[in-house]
Amino acid sequence: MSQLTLRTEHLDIGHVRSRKERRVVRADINVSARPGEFVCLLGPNGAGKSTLIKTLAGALPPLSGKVFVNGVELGSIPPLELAKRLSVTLTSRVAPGAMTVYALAALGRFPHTNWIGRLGPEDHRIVQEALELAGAAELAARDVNELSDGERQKAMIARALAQAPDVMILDEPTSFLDMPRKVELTRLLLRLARDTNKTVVCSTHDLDLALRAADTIWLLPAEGPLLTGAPETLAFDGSIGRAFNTPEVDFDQSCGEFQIHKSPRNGVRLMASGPAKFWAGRLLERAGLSVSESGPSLEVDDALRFWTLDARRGEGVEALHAALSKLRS
Amino acid sequence: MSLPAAPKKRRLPFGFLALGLGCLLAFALELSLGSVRIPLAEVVKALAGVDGADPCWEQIVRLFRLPRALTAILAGAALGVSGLEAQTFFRNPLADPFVLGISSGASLGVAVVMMAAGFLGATTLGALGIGGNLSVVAAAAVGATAVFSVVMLVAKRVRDNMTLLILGLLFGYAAGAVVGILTQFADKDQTRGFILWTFGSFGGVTWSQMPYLATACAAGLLCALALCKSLNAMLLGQDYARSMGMSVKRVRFGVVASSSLLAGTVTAYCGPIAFVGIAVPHLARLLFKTSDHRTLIPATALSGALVAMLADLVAQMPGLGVTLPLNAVTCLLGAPLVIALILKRQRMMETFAS
Repeated sequence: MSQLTLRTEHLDIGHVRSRKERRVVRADINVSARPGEFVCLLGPNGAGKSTLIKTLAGALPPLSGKVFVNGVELGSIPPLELAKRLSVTLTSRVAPGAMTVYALAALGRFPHTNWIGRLGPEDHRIVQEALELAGAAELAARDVNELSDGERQKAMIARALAQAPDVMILDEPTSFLDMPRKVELTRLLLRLARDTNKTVVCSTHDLDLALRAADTIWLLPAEGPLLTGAPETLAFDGSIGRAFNTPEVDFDQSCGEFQIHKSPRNGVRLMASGPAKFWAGRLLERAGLSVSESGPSLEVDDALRFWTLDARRGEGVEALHAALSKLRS
Repeated sequence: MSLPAAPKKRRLPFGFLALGLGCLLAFALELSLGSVRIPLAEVVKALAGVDGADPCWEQIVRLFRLPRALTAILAGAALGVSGLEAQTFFRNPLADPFVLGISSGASLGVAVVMMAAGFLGATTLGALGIGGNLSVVAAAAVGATAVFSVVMLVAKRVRDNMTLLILGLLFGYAAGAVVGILTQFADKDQTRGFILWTFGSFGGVTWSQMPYLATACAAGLLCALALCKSLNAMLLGQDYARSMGMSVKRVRFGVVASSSLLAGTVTAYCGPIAFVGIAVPHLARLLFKTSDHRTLIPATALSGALVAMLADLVAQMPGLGVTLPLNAVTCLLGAPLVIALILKRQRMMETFAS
C-alpha cells in the first residue's frame, strides 16, 4: 500500500463555542488520500465543507479524532513544519497592495527562508517552477492588483506550490470565476496532482466539473455520513442525487446534470434534430413545459427559426416562447 | 533555464539616495534656522568646537538645536514605522500608532499630573521648571504604559485583530472622557499647560533624556525590522499568514509591543504628534511602489524623519519670531500634501489595498 499523505481517524469537526458548549458539525469522518490523487469535496451549502477543509488544514482544531499528514498527527507538527508539508488556498480574495505576482508567489517560501525572508538561488528556482506549473509564468512581472480573478487564482496557486507541500488544500478555488476559467482551473489542479504527485484536495460547488475531473469524490450530504468513492460510483448508486436533490431539481444519472423537475401534464411532442432539438428543449423547460410522447406537437427547423406549433406557424424564438407561454396557461 | 524574473530593483537606490539627501538637508536647516539664523559654516564650527566659534551660537546649536533635530529624526522615524506596523497588521489604511489608545493614555497621565500639580500649589507648568518637564514625561510614560499593559493583556486573550482595534479605540474614548472631566475642574492655567502639551514639540528633550529616547526608539525599530518577514506574510491576511507557519500570537505581541514602545516613548517626550504615523507609511508606499516591508521599514523611517524635521522647521517660522503648534503644522501642511499625492495617483488604495 502506498503511503497516505492525508488521513483522518474518527474525526469530529465543529466549533467550540465556550468551555462547555461545542457544536459538532460532523462526526466520525474517516477519509484518506494518496500522493497524486485529486480529491473534490462536494456537498450542499451548510453541510460542513468549509469546517472540514479548515480542520484538515490545521486552522481549526478537531473536536475529537485525529488528522494525519504524511503519517504524523497534525497537532504534533510545529506550524512551520506543517507549512512545508501542507499548503492552503482560501476562498477570500487577497489584497496585498503593490506587489508583483512573482513576489506574491515568493511569499510561499515563508516556511523555508531565514528571518528576513531572503530568497536564495534554490528558492528563486522553486518560485519560477511554481509559476510555470500554475500557468502564471507570463504574469510574473504584473502587479497583483491588475489581475483578473482567474489570473489571481493562478498566482495564489503558484504561491501554494512555492511552499513545496505534499498536500495542497483549496477552499472553493473556482467560486469567483466564469465558466471557462472554472474548467481551466479544475484541469490545472488535476494536472498538478498528476505531474507533481501532490495530493490535491479541493472543495467546490461545481458538481459537473468535479465529477469529470476528480479521482475521488468526498461527498458530504446534509445528513448522514460522509461518502467517498469514484465520481462514477457515487453518481451511479444515486448518492449524488440524494445529497443534492430538491423538490425542484433532480440529478439526471443519464447525463450527469441537474434537471428541473418534469411535470407530465404539460408535455409537448417535439419534432426536431441536432442542436435545434437541444435548444428547443431548453426553451420548453423555461416555458414550464417538457418533451413528452403526447400533447400538442412542435416542429422546429434546424436553424431554430421557423416553427409549427400544432397548426400555427411562426418565425423566431421570441414568438415561439410567447406562444408556448400561452399554451401553458 | 532563463534567470528568474526577480522583482524590479531600479527604484530602491534612487529612492533611498533622495530620501537620505533630503534628510541631510533638513538636518542642516534645522541646525541653521530658528529664532536666530546661524550660517552653516558657524554651525559646523560650533559642532566641531573649533576656537573662534561664537560662544552664544555654540550654546544654541549644541544645547538646543542639535537635540531638537535629533529628537525630530527619532520621533519621525518612530511614529512612521509604528504606523506602518499598525496599518499592515490590522490591514487597515487608517490605522496609526495611536489606534490602540497609547496617546490617550499618555494624555490622561499628563492631565492628572498637571491637575495634581495645581492642587499641590504650583500654579503653572512653567513654575515647575525642569522638574515639571520631567514629571510630564514620567506621567505620559506611565499613562501610555498603563494603556499599553491593558492592551497587551487583552491582546493575549482575543483571537481577532478587529476586536483589538475596536477595544483600543474604546480605551482611547474612555481616557479622553476622564481628561475632559479633569479639565472641567481645572483652572485656566492648568488647562493651558495641558493644551500646550497637546500641541507637541521636539524642543523639550534635553541631552540627559536623549539616551532614553534613543534607546527606546532603536529597540522599537529593530523589533519592527525583525518582524518584516511576518509583516509581509500578513499582507495576505491573517489566515494565509497562519497557514504558512507564522505564529499570529507571537507576531501580534511583537507588533503591539514595538509599535506601542515607539509611539508611547515619542508621546511621552514630545506630546501626541498627529499625522506623521498615519501619513508617512502611505508616502513611503507611494514613493517606492511596493508593499515589501524590507524596503518599507527603512523607507518609512527616513520619510518620517524628513517629514518631522520639515514640520519642525515650518513650526518655528524662521525670521518671524513666533512659533506655531507642531501638531497644527504637521496636519495643515501634511494633509493637503497627501491629498494631492493621492488624487494625482489615484493609487493609495492600490498600493495599500483594502
